[in-house]
Amino acid sequence: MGFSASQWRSESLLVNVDSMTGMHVPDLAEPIIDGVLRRGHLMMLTGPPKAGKSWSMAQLAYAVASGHDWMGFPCHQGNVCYVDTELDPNSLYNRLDRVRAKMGLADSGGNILAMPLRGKVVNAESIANTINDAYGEHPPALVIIDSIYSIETGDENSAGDMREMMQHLGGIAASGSAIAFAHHHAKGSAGSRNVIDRGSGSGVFGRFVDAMVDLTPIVPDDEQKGMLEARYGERAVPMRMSFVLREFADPGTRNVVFDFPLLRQIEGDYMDDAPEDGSAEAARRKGGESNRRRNDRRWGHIDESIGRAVNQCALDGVAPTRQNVADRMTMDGCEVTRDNVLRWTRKDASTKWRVRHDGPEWVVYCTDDSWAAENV
Amino acid sequence: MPRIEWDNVQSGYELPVRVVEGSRNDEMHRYLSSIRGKGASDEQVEAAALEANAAHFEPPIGETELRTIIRSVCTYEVGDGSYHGEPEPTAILPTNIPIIDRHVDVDVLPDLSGMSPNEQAKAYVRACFDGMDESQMPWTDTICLTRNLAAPWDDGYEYAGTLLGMAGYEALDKYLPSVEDAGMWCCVNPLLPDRYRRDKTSVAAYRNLLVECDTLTMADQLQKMLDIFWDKGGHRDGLLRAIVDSGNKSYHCVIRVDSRSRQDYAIDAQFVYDLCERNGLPVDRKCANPTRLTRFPGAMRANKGRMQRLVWAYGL
Repeated sequence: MGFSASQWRSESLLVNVDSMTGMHVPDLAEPIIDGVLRRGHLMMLTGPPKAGKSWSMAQLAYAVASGHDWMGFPCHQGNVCYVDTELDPNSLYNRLDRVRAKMGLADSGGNILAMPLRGKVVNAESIANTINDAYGEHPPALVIIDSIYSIETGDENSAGDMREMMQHLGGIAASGSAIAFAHHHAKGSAGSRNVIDRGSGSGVFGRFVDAMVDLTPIVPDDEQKGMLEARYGERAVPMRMSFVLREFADPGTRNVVFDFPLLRQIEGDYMDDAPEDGSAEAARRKGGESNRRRNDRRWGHIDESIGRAVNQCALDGVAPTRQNVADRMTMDGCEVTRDNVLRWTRKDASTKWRVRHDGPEWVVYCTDDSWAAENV
Repeated sequence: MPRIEWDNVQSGYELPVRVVEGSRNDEMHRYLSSIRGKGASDEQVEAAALEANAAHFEPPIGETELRTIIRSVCTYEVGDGSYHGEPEPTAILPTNIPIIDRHVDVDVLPDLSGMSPNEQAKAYVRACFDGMDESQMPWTDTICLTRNLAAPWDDGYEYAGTLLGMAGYEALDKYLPSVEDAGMWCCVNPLLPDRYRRDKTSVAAYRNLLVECDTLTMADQLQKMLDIFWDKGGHRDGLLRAIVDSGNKSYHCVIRVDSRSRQDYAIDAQFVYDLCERNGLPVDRKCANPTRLTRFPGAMRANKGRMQRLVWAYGL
């Protein structure tokens, strides 16, 4: 048969690893955002609606254009192509201007070129072609696409369509630009999901990108809320920024707040133990003050009743086993069973009563020493 | 008249609800061509034309004009309705194009100055197409020879390739002397013998790709082509099929690609052209057309008065 170009092409896809390792290992692409994103890589920012995703994209554009920090990560100065598919162009320029003013910059130094595409039917391929044609030999350091879901490339929920779109984005990236785009959270509580699965639509999104940055609101307690309001005003929504990075070590989470029009890191660590919205702990906190008070009252009531029953056991001269305690106890006028006592004395119960071995039996005791001392 | 269930056939074209003056002729032609492709007979095409003309065209196309369109569409082959869109390419373009660092001496090429025009033509056909041997019947490839690019279909030479398949190499003996004043071309890939047209639907096999350069000097072109593709007796033997001096200022180089489909052919062509450019041979990317015509060796180039000379053919 003889050799063919098709065969040569296939052979060319195979690389001898030894020729690319050891002495010949290639340099990594230069970073755009230190510790987060390199040239030629993709970054996705996910968050719930109105979390300030678009604003923080604008902030990122100016950070890269000017070489400032973004969320505490130093950026390498470079030119930025800002593709916007959502906003009326005048709103876009106003937004960018507010971000510029708040960041204290006179201008972007000519480093940001915007591509307002609202009202135009575009897909990832046409954007890729436009950027490649317009920039030619000198691709931008960073391409920002806001937002990815208004680009018409098939169905957001179809892995096939989304893979095709990501491949077009990969085409832009292959020319040496980093790409950052925003994506909204799926319906439901993001906090209960793994970061990589928080974005809506096909799971291809989360798995195709090199850097994933997620914004999820956190639920502060009263004290944290007070400190936050004192610093950022009443409407400040605290959020946790988490990272899933393919190329860098996990920088840990950061607590941020959308301080219009900028996303800022919260100074200090007082917000660190606030749970993410949607997690079980947050649901408890969100239950609200009245709920908590009602719970506290109820648990206090149970504590007192168990205390009375344990005292009665002492008076009757029997060991305070769970059965004996249950027999000497009523709650809200109802009989109490051994199982109720069992539940109230388990190690995760909110009472101060637990059980321990005393000889052959399990007896109920109080974890609060002062109570025991008082009543013996 | 048997009816075709149009709704069951995947549609490539939909007639607009209302067609106004300015695009009527074009829309009608596209509509009829599409149903012809789905298997409509002459009568069905005519019926569909009359029906659509009354229902959707404002104002309706005139009788004479409509007949012309119907007649034209009825010359097309009746399709089987099996067209379901373009297949996906299966080939992958490598990101790293090889760099070929070597120098091949031009002396490796044999001296072919003693070959007659017909010997050159036969050697070329044998190298570029399969089954092209006097002893072998039937020939697996049907080659398409044309006389002149500007008017390729005039006076009987358009399917010299078909005649060649029928009559063996005598056909070349017959045609070559008579086209000396007109130049002669050959389609770079074999065509389907029963299609009688040179377009994307009539390629029988994606065997060859034409590599052509218009910018370098003749000597540099030949040197680069040899550096990149020459490997006689080596691992890549068989890749380079033929080199023809076009009779003006370039060499036409035929490369064996053996692509699986038209989509893969485009990717293979891109690979070969990327390879050429990476290694210093600026190529004409328009040659990626699988039905591209190339100068046929042995014939005279009319406007230059020089022979389209065979420089090398695989198997020599």
